[in-house]
Amino acid sequence: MSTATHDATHGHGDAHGHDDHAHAHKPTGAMRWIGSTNHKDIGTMYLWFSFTMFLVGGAMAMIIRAELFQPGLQIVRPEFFNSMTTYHGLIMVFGAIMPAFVGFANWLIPMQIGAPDMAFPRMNNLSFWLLPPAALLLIAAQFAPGGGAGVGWTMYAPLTTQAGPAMDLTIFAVHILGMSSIMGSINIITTILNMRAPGMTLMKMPLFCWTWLITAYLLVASMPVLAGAVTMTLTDRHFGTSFFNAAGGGDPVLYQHIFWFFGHPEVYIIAIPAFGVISQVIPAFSRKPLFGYASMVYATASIAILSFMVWAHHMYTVGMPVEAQLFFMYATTLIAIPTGVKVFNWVATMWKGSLTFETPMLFALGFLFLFTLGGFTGLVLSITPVDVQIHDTYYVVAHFHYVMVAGALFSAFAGIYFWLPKWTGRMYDETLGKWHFWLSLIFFNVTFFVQHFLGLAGMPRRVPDYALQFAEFNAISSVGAFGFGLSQLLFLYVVLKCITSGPKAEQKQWEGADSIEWTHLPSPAPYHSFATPPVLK
Amino acid sequence: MADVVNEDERQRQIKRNIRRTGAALWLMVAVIFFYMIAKYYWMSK
Repeated sequence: MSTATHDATHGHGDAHGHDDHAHAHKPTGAMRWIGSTNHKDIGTMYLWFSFTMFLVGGAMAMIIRAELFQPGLQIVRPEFFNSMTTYHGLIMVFGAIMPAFVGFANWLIPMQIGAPDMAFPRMNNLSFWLLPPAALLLIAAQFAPGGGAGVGWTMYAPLTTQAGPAMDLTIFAVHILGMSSIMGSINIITTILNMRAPGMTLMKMPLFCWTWLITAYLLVASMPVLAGAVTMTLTDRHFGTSFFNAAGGGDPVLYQHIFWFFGHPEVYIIAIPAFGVISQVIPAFSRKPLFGYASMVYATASIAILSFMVWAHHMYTVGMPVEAQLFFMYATTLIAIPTGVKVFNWVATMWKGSLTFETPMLFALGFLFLFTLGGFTGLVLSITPVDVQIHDTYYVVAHFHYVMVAGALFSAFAGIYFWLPKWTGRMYDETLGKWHFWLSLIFFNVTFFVQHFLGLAGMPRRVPDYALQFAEFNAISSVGAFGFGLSQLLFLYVVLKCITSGPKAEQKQWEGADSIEWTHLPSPAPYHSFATPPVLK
Repeated sequence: MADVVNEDERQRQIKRNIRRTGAALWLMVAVIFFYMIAKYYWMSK
């Protein structure tokens, strides 16, 4: 590790500048990727991996929506349907969204704080290369005797203690994914705290770095909890313990408490880096500094702290004392305050700005409208008596897809379009990018808006069949889902076209972008940057 | 660290701080993981 630290702090030996002659050190062939300790290469691998998993998880969503297109059982067996809902969730959360933002972190944090690389470059390599085996385990679980584990992505006991061998593969995959996340987080915290260029104080960092610093602390505190939960599940299954087995002195509800103590911070682990991306994109296209920078930092930290105090709002129906229900209800509604501060600041940033609406800004605005709607339905769900009525219905499914897809995914798209010129040195096709936005926006709402009505009418989630009165809204939702899925192939085409034949991008492609990757580095960013720390005022 | 003039000394301090930060975070992860399992193992007995 000491050698890795040496590389990170000194850059690459004799490279004094940050650009041209450093290209000589660029490795080639497969080993460039397999053995890479370069934060840009590792960031690229994270992003491609997450897109691949996005397609795999998306294919599972298509199976779910195809089955739900009509009432009755048409296409798949119920056990397989349950397996699809489980692995769609696991793959999208742990394989697609989280690695996407770790990819952003790898690419951007060293460039935005003026560091040559991450603090632990070899651990960075390992944290990426743990992901493909974990993904293969999740996919292999489908072929285990008895099929995939249809236990839901939350993996509640006692279902998991009774599930077939696929559960063991899934538990092992979650362990590996958690280890990868922990290593990535330790790397990010260590890099930001110790490797900022002279003059780059914490309160001068781009907000993206702040959001990742806070997210990384959330990960370090919550991932071991998930690892412990699945370890206890494993020992209950095979080693005679009774953590979650009531017959042996354990408690299945304990699993829910432990899982959601991880699970709710996990929501913000996904959302907070998305906030960071949006906080870079909106000022750039408003041609104004971010309104209320300090309050954004404090609001983000407040959200992170509160996220550890609200876990039981996911389990109002397990039979908690009313005092506990009230505590978790009030604590949850409290989160609306710092979240409101952030939304207000984004709107105030745009106020009287010189706005233009290129693709990143469109996705950022899409995020702003739809994430706020998802947050609002979250407030509805935080009210205990309301939640008891619509718990485990499609209202919940609609709510968290507004947060996860229109929130995190739209933010990721905004970020990719925003930084593609810096990453590739080429500009994407703006017209096709806008097509991608509008198709995604329309089909997303066609898919998920109607699910609010399904949930309010009582349609339960995770069930492959439903009563006839839900048929129309389900058909609409399925049509939207297939449209949304196909729209993402357009995104793939736009990115590939940009990489292969896009016109050359300028160093500061966006007039209003002011962080140092735009002001101090050419496009594309050189393979080794900031071997000598930049001079910052 | 602003008062550190010598570049070698500055690098040495950065490396030391990196090691310490990494070790502290790994310790935090290990404590949370093992404390939780030990606590609930004892409770389930």
